[in-house]
Amino acid sequence: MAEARLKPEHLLLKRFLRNKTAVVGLIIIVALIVIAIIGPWLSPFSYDAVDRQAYLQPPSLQHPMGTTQSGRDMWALTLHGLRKSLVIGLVVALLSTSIAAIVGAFAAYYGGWLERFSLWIIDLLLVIPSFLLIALIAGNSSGGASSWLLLVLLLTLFGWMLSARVVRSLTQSVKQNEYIAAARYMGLSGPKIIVRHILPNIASLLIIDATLNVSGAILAETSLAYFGFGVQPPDTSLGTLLGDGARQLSSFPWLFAGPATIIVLLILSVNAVGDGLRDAFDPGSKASGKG
Amino acid sequence: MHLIPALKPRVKDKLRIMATTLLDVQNLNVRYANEAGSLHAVRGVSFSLHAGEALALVGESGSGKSATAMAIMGLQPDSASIEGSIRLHGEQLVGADDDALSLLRGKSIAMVFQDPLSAMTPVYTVGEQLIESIQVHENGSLSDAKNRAVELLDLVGIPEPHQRINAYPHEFSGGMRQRVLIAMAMANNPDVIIADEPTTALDVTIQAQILDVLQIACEQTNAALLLITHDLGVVARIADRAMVMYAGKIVEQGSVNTVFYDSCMPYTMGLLGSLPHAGNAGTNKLSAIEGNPPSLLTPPTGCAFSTRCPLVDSTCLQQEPSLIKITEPDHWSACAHHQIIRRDSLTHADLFQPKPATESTAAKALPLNPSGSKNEKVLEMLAVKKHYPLFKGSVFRRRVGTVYAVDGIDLTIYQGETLGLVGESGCGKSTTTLSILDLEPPTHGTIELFGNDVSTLDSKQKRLALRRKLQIVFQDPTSSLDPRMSVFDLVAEPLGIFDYNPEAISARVNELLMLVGLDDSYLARFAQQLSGGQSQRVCIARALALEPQLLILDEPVSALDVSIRAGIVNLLQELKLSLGLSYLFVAHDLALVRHIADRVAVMYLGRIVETGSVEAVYENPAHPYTQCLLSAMPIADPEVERNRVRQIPLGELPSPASPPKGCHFHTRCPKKSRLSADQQQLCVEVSPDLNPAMPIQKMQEQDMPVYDNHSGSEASYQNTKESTSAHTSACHYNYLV
Amino acid sequence: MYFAKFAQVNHSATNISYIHANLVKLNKIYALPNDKQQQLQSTVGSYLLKRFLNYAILLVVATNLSWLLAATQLNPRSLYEVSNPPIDPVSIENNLLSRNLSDKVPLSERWVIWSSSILLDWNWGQSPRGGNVGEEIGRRIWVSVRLITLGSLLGAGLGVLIGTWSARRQYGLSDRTFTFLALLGLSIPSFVIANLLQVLATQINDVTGTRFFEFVGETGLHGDWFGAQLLDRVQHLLLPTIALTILGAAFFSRIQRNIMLDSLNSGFVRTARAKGLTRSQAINRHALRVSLIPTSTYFAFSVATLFVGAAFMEIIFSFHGMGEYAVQTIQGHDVHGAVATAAFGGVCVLSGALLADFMVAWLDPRVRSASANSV
Repeated sequence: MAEARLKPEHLLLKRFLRNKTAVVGLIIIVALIVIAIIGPWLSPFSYDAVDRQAYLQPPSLQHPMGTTQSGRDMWALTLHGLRKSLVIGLVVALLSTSIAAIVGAFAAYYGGWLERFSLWIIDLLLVIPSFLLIALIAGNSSGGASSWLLLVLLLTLFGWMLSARVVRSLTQSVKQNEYIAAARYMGLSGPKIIVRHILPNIASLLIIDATLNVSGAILAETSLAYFGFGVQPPDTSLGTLLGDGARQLSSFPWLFAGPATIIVLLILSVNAVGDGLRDAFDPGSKASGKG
Repeated sequence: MHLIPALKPRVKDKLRIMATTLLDVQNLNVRYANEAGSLHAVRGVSFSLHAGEALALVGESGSGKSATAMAIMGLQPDSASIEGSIRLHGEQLVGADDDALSLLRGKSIAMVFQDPLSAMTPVYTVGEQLIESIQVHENGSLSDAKNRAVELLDLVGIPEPHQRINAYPHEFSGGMRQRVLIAMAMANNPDVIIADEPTTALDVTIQAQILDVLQIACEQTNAALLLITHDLGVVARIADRAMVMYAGKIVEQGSVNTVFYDSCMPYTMGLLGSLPHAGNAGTNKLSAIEGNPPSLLTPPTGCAFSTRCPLVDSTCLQQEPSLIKITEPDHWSACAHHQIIRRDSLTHADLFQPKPATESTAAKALPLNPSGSKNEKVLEMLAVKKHYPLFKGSVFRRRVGTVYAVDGIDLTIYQGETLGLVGESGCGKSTTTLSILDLEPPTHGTIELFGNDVSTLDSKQKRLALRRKLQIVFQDPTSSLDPRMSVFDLVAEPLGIFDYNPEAISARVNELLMLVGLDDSYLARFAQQLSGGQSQRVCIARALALEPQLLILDEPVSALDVSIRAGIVNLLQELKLSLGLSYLFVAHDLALVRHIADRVAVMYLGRIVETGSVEAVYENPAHPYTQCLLSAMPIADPEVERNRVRQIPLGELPSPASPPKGCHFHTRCPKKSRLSADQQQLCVEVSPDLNPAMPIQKMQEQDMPVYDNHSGSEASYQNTKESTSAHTSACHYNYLV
Repeated sequence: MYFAKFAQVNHSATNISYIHANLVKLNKIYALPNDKQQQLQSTVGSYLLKRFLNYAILLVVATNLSWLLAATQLNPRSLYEVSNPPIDPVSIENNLLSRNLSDKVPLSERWVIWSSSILLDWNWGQSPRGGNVGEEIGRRIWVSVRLITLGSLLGAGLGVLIGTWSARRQYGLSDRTFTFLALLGLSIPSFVIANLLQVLATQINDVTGTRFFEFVGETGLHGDWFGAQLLDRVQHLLLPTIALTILGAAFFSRIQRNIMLDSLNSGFVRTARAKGLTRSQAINRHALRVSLIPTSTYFAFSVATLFVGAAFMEIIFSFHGMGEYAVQTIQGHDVHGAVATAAFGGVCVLSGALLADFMVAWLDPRVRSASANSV
């Protein structure tokens, strides 16, 4: 009762700020995004420039993170990779959560054949081993500058199903609320009820889901890149760098250390923020005490 | 004012042993650490519980009564801090560690919880859980424990305990589970049983059964009972002494008779006066306590009730009155004005004078709904059936049968009339309301709204036009308001659907809020910032936005606290008068229906078993089911409660998926046992129709068949339909008293 | 991919308890008398049949879609064209034709040959270099089984222990530490963990001057004394098992913690304590038992998906199992191998779903009785 008299946003912020891991995570994410944006100005080298004086050099003053076999500056490559990984993560998360929200909410609200059909499609996409199919298509595409776009589409195509299932069951429980029945008996149409009453009330889930989908997409790209199915050269991502570095880990650790640190930092931060959001949004969490 | 009743034998016995104090609570304080601060839930509570007595702790939600119980059991959440003293047999419990307390819990002091479903572990059988309670404190063999468990189940009235001991909790009904919880509490013959709202989630007929079981449990184990409840009727029925709690403090304490008949605390008096009962049924208005309880995040400096109290003056605001003994032997009150109340013999009627039942100033702002005479039907349902396929299984989902939720009912509501629809949960009340609101043709029969058959609604426009004349107010106000919308948006939403312009919407919203007694400071608030009563007012405002003619009120006050209910009931009655509304009032609270309705229909397993004017049905209930409902209904009057002869239906409501053949009620009918075998045969085989519920002489005068009224029923049935005020009942033996 | 989704399980966990609540609600209202339930048992068989039929359709559609994609995207011809010395185009074509891999044959004809050989002979085709796909998979499945059994069991067990421990000390130091470690475990790509472990093991081997950690293949050189072969296998299994355990523990500790928290705050734990059980007894006997129901469904799923999902472990530690095969078929333009692996992956997912259902039915009497004694 008393707790409810606080403003909802204020309460959310208070709960989120209490979670120190999440706050630190948020700061790191913001910092990484800023670094990614101003990246091209942070390095004297372009990511695709080749330094013919330095092939496979360990870190030095000139190349703070060393160079690759082909003489490219690791620092510049990492900055570019971070950019690409962030873009992939954000776009995939946004798209797949949107698809999940629409499919899940409509399926649950209308039920009947629409629900059965949606569930069948979801099941089908879950039954197909997505990793294999993405690898199949991405690994054999022509490559080039737009290869990451294809990857984004594939990751989205195979990334929304579990979220949609969650949205569906959450919608089913929101649907039980009498304000949905009240809206229907007022004469509000189905799509309007979904947009006005259901989606705003599962917004917390969608935000958390989108956050976790960011890390999910980045990890997925990384895994694909390890086998060479990720972003194709000359373009690069953290995953591609990491995959290349991992194979020569014991001999040339600098190829691995930089991208690995950045990617773990990034994903850890995103996951921590997702966790913090979940704690903040979840009114049933034990932390909120019993009034 | 009242005669002191002769003490019943049981009470006399008790007086002798009451000298021993079992549980002694002194200056108990419970604080919860909360995000919003520290919530001071219990503020200096002191009382003692004596051997053999039944002590009731009465209060509304948030008054601190459950927090007190949890503190005594040592089961408070980790975020709670406890100060003061709790002594059981002189042994201090505050500060004792979990190991020490667990030796006492279940052994010396046992507890019966409110929600019997979540209170039992779903993966263990009832027997396993009961045996565990026994073996925690005893080193006996498993077979001994099992025998004892069977014995206990038998004692609390579980049929076939030998078989049912292997059932899982989900295979039991709510009432059965509550019985098992009582059996668990009895297992080790405790000295004290704490029952926390043990019947709140149950239907009135089951509640009556469970209260009996609880009394049996206390008698069998010689335990003292600490009963925590919000229901004054339950207190009147079962308790010897009562304590009233408000805002974390005990504000009045005494024997049940003193508290009910000679209360010296305005809060108690207000609570008692706000209940609908036979006495105020005609006056049309309940005496309501205005306002809401204070927040315990910042405990009040003066009397916590001062903001709602009609007797308030400056002394009340200066300091909080403490609980003092005002008369011997044992009447305590925490009111600065208790002497005035005693001196002038003030009653709730003096304090909470209901405002005269005229249109309020706000209501005048709207014109009376001019359309429609008293004879215009707003709703007519004929032979309506609504059946659902029944699916079963999560892993192997399939159709296994049909739920006969509504199975052939006739209902008519005239312009300006309130029809009360009563029955136990699962009887089909909700399905009835939903089948009206859906505007879809039912499985069978016809539904006519304002003269339009819903099966002829072929266009969206026609449907929408009908929608706005028909609105609903739900039971749970917090669930019926979208938590992400402001009060303005909530009330404006229906207007937006029907294309009102922004100025008109704004004006109308202000008007509506005024109408339901909220000022415009509420416009910007969100649903979760409102109290239950305020939320329900917003729901009513929203339902009225489109000037409907028929409002369906689905248990509109049952989720609210007692002190809030009366205000909402008064508002509904006021609105009905000033706006010329018709109500379909669905409720399980029979007293409330009597108070608000013109006519009443009693529903059982999808059928109407009795209908008629409120006076006729309540004064001369003809159907045994109605008689049972009325008899099970608790009355907040200890004298009446003690001297009542109860007629309680046997067992529980059968599944609507497999209703009994013949008369649906015959499996539970207390009247049936008094019939001859032939007569019983009729009940079992033939389903009775609604027939006039009039005395036998009158029936003979009118040359109606007496013993065999089902065969000639068509004609008489048609007759009764013509006059809706007729009192009819669906029992083969209406005449038999 | 599957591990990436692990972080989301919290929501699904709440759904499960929600579904249970509803089930129980329904069951309460419409509980059927026992005699009616008896009559209904005969329909369960047909219901199961329906479900399997649906699964079969899903699999057939998924497999055909995979074939379509593989046949159009992969290019077996390129394998021969790049070889040195060059191979005569005619013999390339013959080779491809004999294995039904030639892109010069219309797609529909290749499909008829491919599908009819599966339907008639249960022959899943040949790889571009020859070799029967079905035989290869039959061999590799057992490698995968040996690789993942121990690791997934240990991971789940450890995860449940840590999760239960954490939940009981919510927001304490140990809970915060474990929460952070689990988060870290889920945030590091699995191949990074495997690679780091390998580096670490090399260091230890070098420092101690032994070959205690073995990380190439399933077996190596070993003595001929009794148990030497077993010891050798264990040594080889050590590192991948540690890696799988870390990942599994990180995942399951998160799930178990969240479910356990729900369970800890439930009414039945309070009832158990009110009976006289101490807090620990109440938690161990009641809360833990109930919380294992949803956790076990995740376990069923995760084991099933690990068959193809352990590709990193297999490649890094040179176990020639299904995960490695999946990657190799795509890199090696092996149309039939890729399709067969996809089909196998689909079977794994569906078996996981079935297994999860059966586990719930086995552990949860509410579901058990709701499915009319069918299990």
